[in-house]
Formats: sequence, C-alpha cells, structure tokens
Amino acid sequence: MTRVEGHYYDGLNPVCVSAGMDFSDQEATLTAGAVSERYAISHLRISPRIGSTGRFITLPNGGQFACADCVFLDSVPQESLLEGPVAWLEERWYIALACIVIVYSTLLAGYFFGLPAAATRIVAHIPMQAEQPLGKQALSWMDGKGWFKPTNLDFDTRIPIRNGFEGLYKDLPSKDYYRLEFRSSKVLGPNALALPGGIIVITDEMVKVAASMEEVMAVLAHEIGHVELRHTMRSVLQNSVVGAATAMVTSDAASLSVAVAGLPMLLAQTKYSREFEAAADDYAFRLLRQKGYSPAAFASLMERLAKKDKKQMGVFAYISSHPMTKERVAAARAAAKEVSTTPVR
Amino acid sequence: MHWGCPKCGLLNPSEMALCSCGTAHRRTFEADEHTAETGSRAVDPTSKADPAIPMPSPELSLEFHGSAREYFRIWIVNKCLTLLTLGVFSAWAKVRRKRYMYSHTTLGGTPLQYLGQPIPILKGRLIAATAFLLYYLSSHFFTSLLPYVVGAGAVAAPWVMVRSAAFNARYSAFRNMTFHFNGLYPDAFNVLYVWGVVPVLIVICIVAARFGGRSQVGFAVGVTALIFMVSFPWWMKRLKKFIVERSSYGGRKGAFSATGGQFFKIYFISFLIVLAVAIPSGALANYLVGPKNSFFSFALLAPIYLGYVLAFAFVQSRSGNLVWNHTVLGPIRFQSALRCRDLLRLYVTNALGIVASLGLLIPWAVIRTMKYRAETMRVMLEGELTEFEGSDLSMVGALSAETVDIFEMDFSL
Repeated sequence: MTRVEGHYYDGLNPVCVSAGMDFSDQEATLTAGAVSERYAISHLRISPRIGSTGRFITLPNGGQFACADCVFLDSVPQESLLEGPVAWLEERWYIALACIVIVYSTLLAGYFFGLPAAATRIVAHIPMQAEQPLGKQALSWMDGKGWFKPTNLDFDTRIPIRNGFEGLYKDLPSKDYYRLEFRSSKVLGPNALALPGGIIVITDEMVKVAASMEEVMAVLAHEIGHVELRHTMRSVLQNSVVGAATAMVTSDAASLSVAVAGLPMLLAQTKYSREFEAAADDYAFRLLRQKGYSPAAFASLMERLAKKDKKQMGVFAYISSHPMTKERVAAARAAAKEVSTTPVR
Repeated sequence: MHWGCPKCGLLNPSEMALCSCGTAHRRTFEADEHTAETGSRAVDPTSKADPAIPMPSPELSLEFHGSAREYFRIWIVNKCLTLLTLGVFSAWAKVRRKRYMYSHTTLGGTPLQYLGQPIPILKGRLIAATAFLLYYLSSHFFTSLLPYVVGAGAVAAPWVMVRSAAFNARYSAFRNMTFHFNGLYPDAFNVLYVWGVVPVLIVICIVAARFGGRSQVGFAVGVTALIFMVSFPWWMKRLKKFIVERSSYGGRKGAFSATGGQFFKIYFISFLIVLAVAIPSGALANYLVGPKNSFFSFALLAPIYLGYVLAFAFVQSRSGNLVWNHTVLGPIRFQSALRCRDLLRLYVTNALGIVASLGLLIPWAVIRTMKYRAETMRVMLEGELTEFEGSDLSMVGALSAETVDIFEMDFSL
C-alpha cells in the first residue's frame, strides 16, 4: 500500500478538497472528505512527469486527483509512453551538457559545411531557365523605381565592352543565358550587379571609373563568377534555411526581444554573402588569366573605388556592397603573380 | 459547512483549523490567540457553535514556481531532440514546455493544467509551414501568384485566429475544468477586417497604384495609412474584447470594459516617445556627424532603436495592465501592475544575457519574465468560486473520450 496525499477536483465546481489516494497492486482508493471510491489502476490516466511539476490523475468518474510529483507515480502505467524517456533525459545534467554539445556542433557544422554543400548540390539541379523570370522582374523593378536610367555611354564605348564580355563567357557552361545591360545610376554609383538568370548590369559610373578595358573586364568576370556559381539561388536557399533554423532555436526568446532573433540571423547571412564575394573573386581571377587579362586590374580598380568611396560616393557604392577591400586586393595581386593556367571549368 | 482559505481558495471542512497551504482559519486564528493568552484553554466553544459562514476569499494567490536550472535542462533536451528529428519533435517540445509553464503557475494553490496533445499541434505546424512555403515561393519565384496567395492568407486569417484561440482555451484547465472559446469565423472576420472595410481600402490602394497617377497613389495610400494609424487603438480594443468576451470558464463568460480611448492614449504616448527620442537624436547626429557621412545612418538608427524599445516596453506594460484590469470573469477580477521601467530593464538584461551566453540563457530569460508577470498580477475573488459550474463536457477526462475534430489544431508558436 502506498498513500499519496493531494487534492480532489470533481469537475463540477472549481473547489479544492483535500484528498488521499491509496495504491495497492491492482487498485487505487480515493478518499476525499466523505467520498471514498475504488478504481482499477489501469483505468487511471496519469499525466507525464515534467521536471518537478505536480501530477494530475484523471479518474473514471470524471474527477481529478492532483498531487505533488512523487517517484511512486512513475511505476504506475502512464498516459504517454514516449514522454517517460524524455523526462528521464531532462532530469540529468550530463545529458543536458551533451545536448549543448550536440546542438551547438550540429548548428555550427551545418552552417559552415552542411548547408553550403547541400545548397550547391540542390542548385545544380535547378535549371537556369527557372531563374530567368526573376532576373527580368528584378531589372524592371529597379528600372521602375528609378534606380536605373538609360545609359549615356556612346555606341563606340559599349561595343568593345560587349565584345570583351562575350569573349569572357563564350566557353562557360551557362553561356546561353548571359545578357549585358548598361544603365546609368546616381543611386548605385559605380557598380555592377549580377541578377538571377544571367543578366549582368554595369553602370556608366563604373565604366567611367575604370582606367582601362582590362579593369572593366575584371568587374564583369567577377559578376560572371556570381552567375556561374549560382550565387543568387544559393543565397536564397541558404538564407531561408538559416532563417528557419534561427526561428526554431530562438522561438522561446522571440517574444522577449526582437534583437535576439534578428541579430544572429543577420550576422550569419552576412558571412555567407562575404563568402560568395570571395568565391566570385577567385573565379574571376582564374577566368581573367585564362583569357589573357591580369587579375592585377581588379586590384587597381578596387583601390581606386576605395579612394573614391572616401570622397562620399553615396550609400550604395560598389565598395559598400563588396567589403574587405584590402584582403581582396591582396588576393588579386597574388593571383596576378601566379603563372598557372588552370582552365576554368 | 466549509470555509474558504483566503490565501489559496481551498475549501476546508469547518473542523479543520489549518488550510493545507498553512493559513489558519481566521476564526480559529483569533481563538488560537485567545488560547495563547489564557494558556491551557481549548478553542472557544462559542465560536464553534456559531455556524461557520463561508468566508469570501478576497484574493486567489497567483504564483510562478518555475526554476531556470530545471527549465534549462528541459529546454536543451527538447531543442536537441527537435534538431535531430528535423523539427518533427517540436510539437512534443511545445507540449512539454507549456505543461511546465502551466503546472508551475499556481492559482489559489492549484496548478494550471495544459492538456494540448502533440499531434494536432504537429498538424497545425505542417499546415503553417506549407502556407509559409507557398508564400515564400510566390514572393521569390512566382510573383504572378503572390496576390492570390496573400488573398488566400487574408481569407484564412480569421479562421486561424478562431481555431488557435479555441484550441488554447479548450486545452487549458483549472481544477479539472477546461476553458472555452466560442468565437465564429464571421465574428472574427468582422473584428479583424472591421466589417470588411480594411480589404476594401487596400483594394482601392491597389487599383490606384495600377491605374492612377503618382499623386492619386500617394493620396490613396496616405489617407489609408492615416485611417489605419488613427483607428488602430479601436481595432485593438475590438480584438481584445472579442477574445475576452468569447472566452468562458465554468459557464461564465468574460467581460471586457476598456475603451478605445484608453488604448488610444497608450499608443499616442508611445508615438510621442519615439518622436521625443528620434528628433533630438536626429538633430544631434546631424550636428555631430553630418548627413553626408556614412556613419550618419548608424548614428541615427541606434537611438531610434532605443526609442523603439522604450516605446515597446511602454505599450506592453500599459496595454497589459489596461486589458487585465478591465477583464472580469464571473466573480474573478484581475489587477495587473506591470511597470514600464521594470519591463525595459527585463528586456535589456534578457537581450544582453542571451547574446553574451550565445543563447544558453534563453530559459533563464523566459523564467524570469514569467516570474515578473506572476508577481505583478493579482487575482481578486469577489464572490464564490462555486459560481463557476462545470459540466460533463468541461471535465478534463471528457477530452479523450470525444472524437477528435480534424480541424482541431494549433497554429500559435
């Protein structure tokens, strides 16, 4: 016989009656005031254990017996079979420590290796055509917003750039999708961008900043790198998974403070975009060398842009969306010195 | 005859002098003092002869007993299992989290009980995830479909609201009696979209954007935005009123008496707070840094963000107090005394702690927020708890017996 003290609730009024329950092998006897009832233990429903919270026993008569948590109740058949083992795990500090290790290492490994690798694989299966409407929409949206105005460059300036551009991409896997657009833009300043689906936009301001054709080709090669490596799709995929994972991990804290959920997500996504820039640079250096240009042109252009940027180039200048100039310049110079001719895939 | 314990609301037989929570019956208590004075005398026989009048308990004590250490283990184990099952376990995790929070909240000495089951929650989450995926795909890839997806979402929103409120009420119990929420779709539609005026205004804006000139678009959008901003407090009041007055416990419906004007005051002051922070800091940033410096936007945004947090704490504390202090449930009345500066301190320290611990202090932040909430809330009983009358249906045990409605699901986080 085991006796458990608690309270009885009849379910007809929220009134609390002191009660006790005596458990024998097969039966349980409830005594609450003048009431005394006997039940088969198999007819009782016992709520799962969670930490030190009280337990609720639902009785066949519709009443409820509530009591403090006690070890004995775990030996009686439980309402939920799955939750017993979970409760067991939750009670142990060494399990909690192991869980910290598992959670953090899974998140970090997924973030640094798993997700980029998975995204690269998935993106390889998405046809380039699927991206094209996106790029067109994006371009017409930016045109409509007034970010872009028609180009002021004359025909004689554009033709050699166009020819050089064709020369850059003509052996590449996505060669059928490239389109070069000239725009003038006060908002974006000297800039070049790769839109989804192979559209590459270069601003008049960028062409004017460039000192030579080689420098223009360096910028275009960088953007070609974004297209060939499918960075738009990858960033959409990776950023949404990062967003979903952050939401899952911080769901309890989201209502406490907006910054808690927003900040790590922003940092995580910034890192990916820097990686994309570095990867596009790397791709561009190899492409330039293969086509007989020097990656040093990229370095000199970046340096000139950085200098200009200090003289107030506007918030959206190329340099602000392409950070870490020093490292990138150094990488370009190093690439220029290498005399290898590794062909670009 | 029974006497109600003033501290916990427990109804004790009159022969018991002490309630199980340790509080002495007032009559007995006086007698005890008397005994102490006179030495050996037992309980005054005259007081025993006096029929014990059931004492209306003036207050049901509300306490939160959760501990950050214990909750940390529960939290991390459930997070780990959720991660390893790619999110499927999250429904079980939610149930365990809510049970922990409910059961550690005692009202009149009795813990609240959460009865939600994982499967309906999982179902709700799958549907929500599908809806989000549809929205995501249409906003990123198939933009021509976006208006239809948003439209479908707008049509479904009142339904989602009603189902979630019903689920949460139905699976919350106190003393073996569950809560109820009986709001219907048309009412929720009416409350959310103000008799359909909101969609009409938005459609007018869209039509203006498509066919009108620049000035017409500006006018339509400006007027709509102004209408929304000014009427927002009244909208909020209708929403709270809807939730409170459609909720019931033990056959008694909630009543809500706050006015839109009171909500307006809160939002208006919060608006002034943002202005009071933004304008001087903007002027200061202009003076110190100058608008052409790229540091300018940061110098401007940081104080505005602080102003926003301050306004947020203000709105949370004042509207929380307003809602609870104007809510009555049968004989039960609430007194909420949230303070803006306490909430602000709580938000800031929570955020700092969470960031500094790389998220490990999230459970601590959750627990101390719950503790603060319970400390600042008082539940007054102006009558008898027996005014609440349960039925066979409201008993906790009845839930398992009935067939599960396929639309019974929970969408909330």
